[in-house]
Amino acid sequence: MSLALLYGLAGIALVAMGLYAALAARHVLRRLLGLNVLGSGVFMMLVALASRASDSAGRPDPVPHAMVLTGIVVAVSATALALALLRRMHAHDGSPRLPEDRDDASDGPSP
Amino acid sequence: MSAQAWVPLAVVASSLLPGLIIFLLPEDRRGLRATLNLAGAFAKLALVGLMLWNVGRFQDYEARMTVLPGLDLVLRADELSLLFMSLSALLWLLTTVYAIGYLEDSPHRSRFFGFFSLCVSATAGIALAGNLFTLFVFYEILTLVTYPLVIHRGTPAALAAGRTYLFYTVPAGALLLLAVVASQVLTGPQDFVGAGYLKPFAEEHATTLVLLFVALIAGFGVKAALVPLHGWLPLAMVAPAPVSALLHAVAVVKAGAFAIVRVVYEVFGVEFAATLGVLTPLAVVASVTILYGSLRALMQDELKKRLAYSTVSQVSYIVLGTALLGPIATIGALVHLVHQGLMKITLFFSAGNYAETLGVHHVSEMDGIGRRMPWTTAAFTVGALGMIGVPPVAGFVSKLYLGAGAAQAGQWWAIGVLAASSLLNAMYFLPVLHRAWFRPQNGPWPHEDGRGRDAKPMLLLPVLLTALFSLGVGVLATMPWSPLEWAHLIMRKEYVGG
Amino acid sequence: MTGSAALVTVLAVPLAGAAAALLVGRRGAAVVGLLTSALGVVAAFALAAHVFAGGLQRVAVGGWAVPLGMELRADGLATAMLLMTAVIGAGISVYAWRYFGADDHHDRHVHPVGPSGSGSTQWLFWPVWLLAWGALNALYLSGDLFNLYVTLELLGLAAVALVALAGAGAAAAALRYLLFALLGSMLYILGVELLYAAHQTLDLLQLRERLQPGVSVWLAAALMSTGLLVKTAIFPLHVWLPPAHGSAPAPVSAALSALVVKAGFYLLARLWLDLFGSLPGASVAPLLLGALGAGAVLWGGVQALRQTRLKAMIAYSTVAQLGYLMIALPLAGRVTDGAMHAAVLLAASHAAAKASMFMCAGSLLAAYGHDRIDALTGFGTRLPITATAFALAAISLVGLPPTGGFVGKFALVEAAVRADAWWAVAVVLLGSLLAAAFLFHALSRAFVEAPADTASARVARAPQLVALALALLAVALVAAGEPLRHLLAAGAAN
Repeated sequence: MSLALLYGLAGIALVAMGLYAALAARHVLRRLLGLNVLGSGVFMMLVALASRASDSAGRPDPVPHAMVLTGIVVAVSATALALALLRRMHAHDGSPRLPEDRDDASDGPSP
Repeated sequence: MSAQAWVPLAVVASSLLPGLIIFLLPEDRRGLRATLNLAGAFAKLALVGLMLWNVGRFQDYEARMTVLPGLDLVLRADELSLLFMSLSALLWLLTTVYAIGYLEDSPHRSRFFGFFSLCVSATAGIALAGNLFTLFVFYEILTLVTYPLVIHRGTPAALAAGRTYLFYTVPAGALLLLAVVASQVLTGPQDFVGAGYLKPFAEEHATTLVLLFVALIAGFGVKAALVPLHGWLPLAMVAPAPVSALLHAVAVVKAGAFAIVRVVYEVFGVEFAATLGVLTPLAVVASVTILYGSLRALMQDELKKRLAYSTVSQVSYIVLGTALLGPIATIGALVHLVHQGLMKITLFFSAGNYAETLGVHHVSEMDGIGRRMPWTTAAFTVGALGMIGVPPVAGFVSKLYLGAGAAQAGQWWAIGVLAASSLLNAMYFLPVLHRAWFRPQNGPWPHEDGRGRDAKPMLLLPVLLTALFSLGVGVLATMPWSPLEWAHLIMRKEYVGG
Repeated sequence: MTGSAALVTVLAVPLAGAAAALLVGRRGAAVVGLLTSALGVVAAFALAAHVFAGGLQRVAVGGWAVPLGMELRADGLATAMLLMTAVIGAGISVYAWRYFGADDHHDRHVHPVGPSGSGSTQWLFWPVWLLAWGALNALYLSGDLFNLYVTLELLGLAAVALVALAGAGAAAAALRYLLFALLGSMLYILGVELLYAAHQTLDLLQLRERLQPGVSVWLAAALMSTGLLVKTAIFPLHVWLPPAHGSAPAPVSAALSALVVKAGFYLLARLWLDLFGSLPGASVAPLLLGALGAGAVLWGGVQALRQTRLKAMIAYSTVAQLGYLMIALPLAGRVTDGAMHAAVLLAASHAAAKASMFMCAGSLLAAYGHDRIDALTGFGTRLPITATAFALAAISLVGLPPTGGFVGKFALVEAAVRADAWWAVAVVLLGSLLAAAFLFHALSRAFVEAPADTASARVARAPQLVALALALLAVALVAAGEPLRHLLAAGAAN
């Protein structure tokens, strides 16, 4: 099994796990982490892609690398924003979960 | 833009512009408001006069704008437009005077007169529409601008009436949209044509054409108060009397009937419609409406409701005449468009006078009112006799032609319907007249306004004029410029081979 | 100004404006915002003139040719969307200037302000709004799939920030929006990856030529579409939209509903009519999207009817109106088609009318202190300008003449009849009836006499006038049918 294939498969696995967490988790931080893992999976797949498409001299295709870099930057910024909003929501609503995921007993007061 | 294009536009604008300005006026600027209203009304009348003069000499007035590929908005003055347009313009002037008198000191006058003017503009657009799309556009606009008039008083009853009004007219609009789109897809861009333009499509699309007919008639039939689509009309009586007058005689109901006339004569063509087999069902629906309206009118004690059901019945005379194949019936239908307008507005003005002056809203309260308000009651009498069909009031002329038309078409049962209806009309009008003139007053008036005389001049003058006109068009029916002669002119266009 | 220069200017102006607003700080942000908006409008019209006269405009960024470089392209559809964004965006800017410029009065009634207070951070509206505008322009001009990803992200983040501006109480709604947006982006990028792997290019025009049917392409298409559906509140993935509107101040709601959500429609149209249109069996996807659109129209309409609060009602109306746009997709063959023409007209009319309506809601909220529909009695007398704007906007949304919404609806029904798509006809007509029901109900409040003890605060006039101006624009668009058709045809890519 080539390295590229391994990366690709790992990427798919990460995507699946991240997707699951993003959809099923209730704590927002977990969801966010899930989305990050999802993102990492996507980027790994891109890197695998770049390696697979290398030219005759063995240099990988730079375009997917550019996409990954951009993607990382975007993901970091978005995660930062999400964390800031999470903190604010927690301070205001008393819960780290979105309103539809809260049950009144275990979390703080819902709005 | 050529001179010929601006005249139809100016006719619409003559009430649109004053209307928009009136919205911005503070409540107390009654002088300015009245001036704007009346200036617009006179301007419109003058423009209509101009068009009448020139169309008689075959000059074309047309304004056109492309909205979508193959879809034009067209305003055009042909003989049929002018028939309706002249009625509208004249009655708008009189109703404006009446409304100014009636609504003195009531709240929201600027809003009222603003929408009032817009209503007349929309009616002008309907009258002058040169194709089905334009007719539809202004028809929907009419719904929008009459709604605020219906709910003007803001009471729960008014709001409920408005809701019912929308409940009937908005779905009808959706049906009309479908019909207009379908006809557009079928025929491409097409203006109204004397004797219709759908005949060439008969071979391949007969079923579609029948469905189209049903959709168009149902859509327009809501405003024309065809049974069973009439339910909104009696409820709309909660609006002030000038609104009822406008709605029934000039704008809404008449517009529905006018649209049906256009569809039968200038979209389908009456002879083609007959071969399609849709005329007889239409005649039946019209007859049912005529009889049902008259029967319900009998049962009403509230005067305006009685008149409302009378309208339901009488407007279907127009539809019946349209549905009978034959030139004489056509003339009867067209001329009744005008005559019914004049007579009905007289009746509504009178009802308004009774309500305003003495607080009388019910027939049972009208004993001896003829002695107290002789002029109003005289006018009422003229209107009522016309509705029954007593010569020489206008209604007699229309019924004569309708009856003769039924005979010409071989539809003898229709004569029965007309006769029965006249009888019913007599049954619900004559007792009222009897009470008014020959019974002594049986109690104090609900709300004596202390003047001791008939209605105020601004309320009295319009009703006397319309009564005079109702009488005049009947007596002078054979004169060159009468509605009857005009109807003859239009009829000739609608039959192949003149 | 040449066509390319106009194109670049359209892109640069809002972005530069955003940076400038941030640098200038609280005192001057509004001025920068207004200036930028004015320039943005001029640039958009300049570009439109070029497209009208000269057809498709293109600029290779940095001078690098495709496929290594990226192209910015302005065809008829993109130009129409750019114009819409610019004009209505300018209106929103003017409104926001007066809305925020007046006292903090307006916001206080909606949501309790947290310790940070919306007063001190209100000026941040300007940089974030201009950023969103810039992102929208970039999105419409992008000719490259990955660039689209970047612009989508930018738009998403800016929009989330706009929602969050309302204060700590809006954090939950903003967070939900962000999570949805991120998920959508990830799916989208996965799809882009697959396409690149198969075809070695990201440029839309090149991809269209090279496209080979296959599993990966279908998968890519599915992923990208799903991502877009999530991001743009297409039923049934619309759930983030109504709460986001409920918390946001009026200018933000206007921007979101009128402009931001249109980007999703635009992209779905591009993907399925332009890019994937040549795939065999490709008509399935637009049909599916159309079905979702039908769901949106009916579901959104019913939900709007059930709302007791005005802003929520208007938000659900947006869900429904987006459905109309989706319905146009299966009826259209190419981007210049009659159905697309209808959709763009509907989109533009909706943008004007919806922005106006949210602005009216803002004024009503300020005047009455709440937005419970049944209790907004007598606003016809209290706020006549707002009442007029609301009425005109409502008429356009229902699709009654004489408005742009009517012409758009007529064109859409005509396209449906021509295509024998009777399901679409039924849904569109039903949608209008539903819209008439909830909009006229709200409108009828204007005519009811208010009880004498109803409290009423004074409301600034200028915001109301902006709302009226936008509502009048929705009416004026009745005449836009023909010019729009020429624009779409003139800028056709081939």
